[in-house]
Amino acid sequence: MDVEREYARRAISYILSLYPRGTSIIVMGHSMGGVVATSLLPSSNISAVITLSTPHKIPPARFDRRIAAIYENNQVVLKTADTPISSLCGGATDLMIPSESCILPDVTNGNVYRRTIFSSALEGCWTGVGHQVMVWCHQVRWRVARAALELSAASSLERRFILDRWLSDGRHLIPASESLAPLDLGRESYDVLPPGPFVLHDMRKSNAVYLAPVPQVNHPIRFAAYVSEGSVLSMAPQHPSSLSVTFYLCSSPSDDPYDTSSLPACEQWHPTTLKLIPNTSPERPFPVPHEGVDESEGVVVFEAVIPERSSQHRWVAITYSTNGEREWILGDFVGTGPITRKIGVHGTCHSGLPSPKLSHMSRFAL
Amino acid sequence: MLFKDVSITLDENSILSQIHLPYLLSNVLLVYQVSATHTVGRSCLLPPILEHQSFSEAHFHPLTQVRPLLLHTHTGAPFTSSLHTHGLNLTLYTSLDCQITSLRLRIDWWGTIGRAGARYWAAVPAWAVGIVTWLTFTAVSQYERGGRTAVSHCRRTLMHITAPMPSVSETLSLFTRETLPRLLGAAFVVSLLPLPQDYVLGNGGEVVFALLAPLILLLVTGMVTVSWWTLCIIILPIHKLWRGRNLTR
Repeated sequence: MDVEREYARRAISYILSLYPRGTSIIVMGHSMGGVVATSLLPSSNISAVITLSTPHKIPPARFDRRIAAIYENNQVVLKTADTPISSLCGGATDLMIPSESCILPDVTNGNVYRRTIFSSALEGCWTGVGHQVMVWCHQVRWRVARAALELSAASSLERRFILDRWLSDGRHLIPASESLAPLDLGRESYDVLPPGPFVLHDMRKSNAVYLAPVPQVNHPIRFAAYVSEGSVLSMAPQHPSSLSVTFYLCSSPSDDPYDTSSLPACEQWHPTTLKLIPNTSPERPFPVPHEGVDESEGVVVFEAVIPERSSQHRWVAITYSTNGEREWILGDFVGTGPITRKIGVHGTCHSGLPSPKLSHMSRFAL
Repeated sequence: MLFKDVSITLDENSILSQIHLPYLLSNVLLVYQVSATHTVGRSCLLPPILEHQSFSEAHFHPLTQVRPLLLHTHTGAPFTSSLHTHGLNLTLYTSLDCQITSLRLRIDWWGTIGRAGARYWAAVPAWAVGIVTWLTFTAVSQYERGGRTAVSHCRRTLMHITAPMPSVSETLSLFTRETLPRLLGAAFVVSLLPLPQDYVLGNGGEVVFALLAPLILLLVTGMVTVSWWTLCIIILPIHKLWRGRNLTR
């Protein structure tokens, strides 16, 4: 490994000598190659490191003191080097290495970018990937390729957002690329939904605005919505449908949303969660063997917190544009607290804290 | 939860439910089984899907099938230190036409045993070498202590003739009768100690895994014993042939 590291270092120097000064290189490593790639750091010539099924924490064979020294050095690098590092792990399907060793160590410095993404959580992949399969699995490969292509033209500040966008497991919210103008209800025709969960499907209108009234309750609540195969802000399957949805939070001193003297004012609403989840089918196994997930599949999950009770009446505005009819939007208001059960493996049970239940609501479909 | 199920009732009117079990051990050696109770419904707009999240990992499990799911994680593991060794988070996404009324959670023992085997298979030959070394030194120490000594006045020299070295079978028998029970107890006690992750089986004193060391020790001792019997069986015809040859001479 010492020889490989030295070879890689010299190769990088030679390659960069053929390019204009200031050019940097992206290094990718599979399995122990990722350990070699990490050992090259710190280096100002390396713009990013992407490792695939790499045992960062524990070497597979620990009979050599020299490999222990390389790993000790790498642990320092993984915590301190400025170069962004992403570690893709195959999970239990990887029978070659224990995937717990693939997890990057925690870092406290917010300027240091470290991401561990398991393929079972990777949006658009959602399955474990074998050790060698990691280099040819289509759902992983094309995302790594897109990330590398965009990294090559990115500034140092943009690199982490590119990696978060293409190698995302839904845990890190990607900032919106542009801010939206407030929604002017005076210029739009809209319908008010009855209280309760709503489903919008069979969308014959190409553009529409709906207002869902926020329940008047004494506890914190969130708004959750699912958008099938469409896009919400920057989140969408790779090949989304034509459906594009935007959510606003509107408020008005009047409880009548049609009151023209006091139309609700709608502002852009930033989500707390914006991620892609699979939409499975009871007729097919998930994921489909030998195929995996198609690039058009996925349901966007939008969650946002309703601010504390205010004196104004509030609505969530749902605007969409589409050319198709197969998509759907499902939304409702849910409690903020999870159902917590204080149980341990030894069976110690304490009183649970059930989530607040909203009153029964009727469905509304268009 | 070691020997009983835990049932969690869900809100049937919610399209998104989150369950947080902050004290549940999250370790690669433990596999949990989840089974769901469904309400009867038509085809679902969004079939129920359960997301199992640990610190750096997530799995999506469709709940459209009757068979239970297996939850596993890589957050905590032998020989790797982690700050996130406890906590299990589940998120249920569904449309209201197909609802999950409750989840039942338990330990999946077959999966858990399989995990221990997958993680500690390398310990078996290593510990076997240790046991064989222990047996060798036990036999040597028996030899050095001797059983009988004899003094010979032949040629007016004083000679100490010690008892022969015990056989492998005798040493194994001595080991299993006298040493192994104490070793099993010691292994259990050491497993409970909060040692650094690099030591013993790398579990840092986690009580749930304290039985693993004595079980592996017992298994390895059995393996060494069976290996010796196998060797004896293989050598027996060769030994008989050799004796027969010497007798005919």
